Amino acid sequence: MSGYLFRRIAFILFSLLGATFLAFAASRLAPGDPVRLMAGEQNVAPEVIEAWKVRYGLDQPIPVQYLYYVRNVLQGDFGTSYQYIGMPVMDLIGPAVLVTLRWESIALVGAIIIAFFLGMIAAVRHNTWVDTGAMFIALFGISLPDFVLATFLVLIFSLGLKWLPVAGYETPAHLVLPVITLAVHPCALISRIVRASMLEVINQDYMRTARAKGVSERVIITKHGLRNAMLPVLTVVGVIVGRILAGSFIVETIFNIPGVGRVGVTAVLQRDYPVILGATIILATAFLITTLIVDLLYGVLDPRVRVID
Amino acid sequence: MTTVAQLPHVDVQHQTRGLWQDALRRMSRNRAAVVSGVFLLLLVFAAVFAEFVTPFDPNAADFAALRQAPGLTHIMGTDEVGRDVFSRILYGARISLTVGFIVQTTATVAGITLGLVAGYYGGTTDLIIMRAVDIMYALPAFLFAVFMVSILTPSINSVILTLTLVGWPFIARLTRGQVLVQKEQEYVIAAQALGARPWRIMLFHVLPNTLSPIIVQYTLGIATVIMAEAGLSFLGIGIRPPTPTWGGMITKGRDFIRTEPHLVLYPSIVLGLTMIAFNFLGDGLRDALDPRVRK
Repeated sequence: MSGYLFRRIAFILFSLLGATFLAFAASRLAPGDPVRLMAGEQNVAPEVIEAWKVRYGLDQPIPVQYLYYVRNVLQGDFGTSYQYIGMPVMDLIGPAVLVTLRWESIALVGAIIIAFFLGMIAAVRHNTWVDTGAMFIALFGISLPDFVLATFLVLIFSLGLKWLPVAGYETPAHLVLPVITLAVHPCALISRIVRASMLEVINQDYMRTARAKGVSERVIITKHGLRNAMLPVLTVVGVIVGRILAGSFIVETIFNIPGVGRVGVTAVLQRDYPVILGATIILATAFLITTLIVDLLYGVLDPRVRVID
Repeated sequence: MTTVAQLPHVDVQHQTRGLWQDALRRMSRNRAAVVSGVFLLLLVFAAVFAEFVTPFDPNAADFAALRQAPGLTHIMGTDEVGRDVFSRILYGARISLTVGFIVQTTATVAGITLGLVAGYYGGTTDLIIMRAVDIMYALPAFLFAVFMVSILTPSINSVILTLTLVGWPFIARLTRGQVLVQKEQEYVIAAQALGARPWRIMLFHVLPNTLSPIIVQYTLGIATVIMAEAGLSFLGIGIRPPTPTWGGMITKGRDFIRTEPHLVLYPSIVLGLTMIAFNFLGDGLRDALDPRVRK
């Protein structure tokens, strides 16, 4: 297990360094001189510009600049915004990260719970209208883009029925539509996987043995079936977290939620590279940490992984 | 000698044809997939011949007909500067489908090539290609796309470049996995024993046997690309107005969602239907091509 753990962590670190280096280099090669951007409209003497470049290490080659950047990031310093002069990127992103974590974790947990429920019902009622109907709806859920779904939800529940607010981040009612919007896709995806793996498990020998012993169907499905259906779901959780994190750009913009996604989109529109880079790195790190946790859980839940690896 | 070399070749061809015919027959029995296919064909047709389908220029403002409700002249109404919504949806389809096909085709060809090479040769080549794939996987795809687009100048070419960069690793990993399985099969060893060159084995022996999942992924991938393009345009960081894009129309339409919901409704419906159609088609293809379903 410790060898497996070590390899996984080394792999994650490698990916993270590779991805952040690419992002860093790309943002340095982007049009616009950072120092000029920092100076803004003011008329700054060329000597001052040169002095700033030396001060921020911008006279160094990009790999060296990257090392400086990594050192600063490890101390929690993502630089300062170009748009809001002198404002540390961390002050912009920090509170936003908490907002995003809070509301997106509700969507993730809700999606997983409902998906297990739907997937199991579909599997138990295999080849009946319940199964076909649930899977048809799931395919719809997978297909619809977030912003199309959000538009329909707002049209129906906010403007039509006037049950829920259109946008904002104040009361729990404000979170209902964004959470549904974000949860539908992962929910549909997971329920399909739960169904497929339940169907595979349902006819296994150990299930038949349990039935022969006289164990009730409910216990068989929840105890024996569910447990084995969980592994395939675990493999997609990483992908789903990635999608949810990336989905925050669109959903937070639509519903005007002050999270990382909206901060990121605003920064992109303003070409505020330190903020874009900071948001990208934080989201990528969150994504990779999830991947690592999933890998480790996999090792815990399925002893075979440890042996093979 | 010639006869020995030809015999297995003829055999393989027969088998392949049978497989595709089989798959086609299974496809035609899947009603959702057939309906989806017909819808997509109609959409492609309408997009290609948009000039003949609608009399209105998608960019011509008509200040005498601002934000009109759907009616006889403008069947889906007009937008805030009097442009015909139906025309803009058709020309938007042209953009969406072009981006979808170009990106997914380029990404698939690149992914297949790199996946074949990585899987077939193994060793250092494999290591380098797959580490590049890993790095691409470290960033959620849409996050990477937003980041790339922010660095490039906003244009249709930037969007195509970005989404292609995002798309290839998945296909490469898929192809490599397939190749690793096929490489150990007797027919590959036989081809090697007969002295066939690596590229010949890869293209004519390994590739045809790995195509089914790639075809499925190609179809589903087009939907993902169209969705990503619409998402970028929706955020205002993709293809810029006045070029008609579905994502852009939905963003603009949201400003009038209280008074003229048709401005946001029609592009949303068309985009939604297109996504659903590609997904049903891809799902149908998977069922038709997957040998495990064939019991």
